[in-house]
Amino acid sequence: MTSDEELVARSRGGDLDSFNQLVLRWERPIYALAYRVVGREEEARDIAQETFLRAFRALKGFKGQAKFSSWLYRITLNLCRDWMRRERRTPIAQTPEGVDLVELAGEATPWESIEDLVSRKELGRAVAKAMSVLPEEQRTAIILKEYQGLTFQEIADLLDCPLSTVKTRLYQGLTVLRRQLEQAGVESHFESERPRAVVRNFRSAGGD
Amino acid sequence: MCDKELLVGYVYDELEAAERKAFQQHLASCRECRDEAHALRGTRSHLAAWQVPAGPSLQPIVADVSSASRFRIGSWWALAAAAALVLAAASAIANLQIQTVDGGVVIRTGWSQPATIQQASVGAAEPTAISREELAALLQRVNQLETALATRSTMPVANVSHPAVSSEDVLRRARQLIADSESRQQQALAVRLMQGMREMQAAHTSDLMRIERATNQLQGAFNDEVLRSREMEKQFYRLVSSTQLQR
Repeated sequence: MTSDEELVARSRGGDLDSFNQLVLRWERPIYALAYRVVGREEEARDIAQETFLRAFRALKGFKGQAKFSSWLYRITLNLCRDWMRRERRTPIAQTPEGVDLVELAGEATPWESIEDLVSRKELGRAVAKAMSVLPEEQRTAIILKEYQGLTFQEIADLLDCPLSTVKTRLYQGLTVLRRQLEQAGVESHFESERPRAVVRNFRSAGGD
Repeated sequence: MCDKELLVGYVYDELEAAERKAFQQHLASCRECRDEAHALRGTRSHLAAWQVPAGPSLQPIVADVSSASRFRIGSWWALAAAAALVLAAASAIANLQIQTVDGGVVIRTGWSQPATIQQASVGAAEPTAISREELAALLQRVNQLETALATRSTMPVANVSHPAVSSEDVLRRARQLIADSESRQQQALAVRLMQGMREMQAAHTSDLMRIERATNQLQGAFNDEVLRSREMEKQFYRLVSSTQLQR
């Protein structure tokens, strides 16, 4: 598999195919990042498209001083921030009402029962809701760490803030999430094998 | 108060070996940290459940390109795109290239000099044949764009002067060509749109990205069989040469 650096070099030389490959490679993570930050599918898609557009136009100025993916993330985060400021919106926990069992049946992994899958979906909803409670800075830090898999240092570089600030935001974010999830009835069973979440009284505990 | 930075580093497995060892020793004697670390790890383990919906791919499907709503009628970019599609689909042109260079447009065609110009009759039009007027109008349009670039004039606003062909007609025809083709596998669209937009074009860029991706996808998705209509090829060569003579 060709490295990002190689594809970038070829793109800068005018090779469209290489840039398209970069888009294919990164469109999903970029979309996922935008979606989790702004909480809306349509906006996330627009932001993702705009990210690649801007990246394409700015290719000449990108000399590999950072990782290509970090550069993309930075563009995406700026676009997210701009959008949220413009709309003065906090992201909503966009989750569908109810659970379509037929649809779910198609999603069940072999070792999961439907009950497991339903509770996984409900857990997902609980997490989305809890995340929407976080202040933007903490939420962004958590998203970058948990879902983009960046290191503390990479996050610090990306957000232009000190290392200790990143750690503080993550700590505070996790603490808030823990409280939110506990209130939503999610017990914290951490086992070294596949952890199971037990969602008790999700609906009656003020969820949705 | 225990060091929360170490705690969070531990929870995220980002401590150096020595730090981790020291912290584990601390955990052995500190109930509060032990409980908190355990709880936060539990919280972390739930976060993966927040999935992102599959979401529409950034790559548009073919139908998007044909859909009129994707084109801003009146935009010369849209017309160039439509013209390129019709040209490529209607004749056996390979390597039709549309490139933007420093905000301008260069359109190159890859055919070699026609060996002979045959006075072939137009004959009964095939279902996918477009009229010579349409071809002529499109070719004229392409020439206009090339001229505009060469003289670095401002980009012409797209209004095809030929009375029989309007922008809408061209687009409709383009769509019809693609939809009516006998076999989609027979179409090969070797069209490329590149971008190097000037700021004034910013409003059209997201449409253009869609067009570009669609055409790239078409190129990749279809195999390399080209519409091999000899009659149409000759017809086109004839138009090219006759248009040149008119200059």
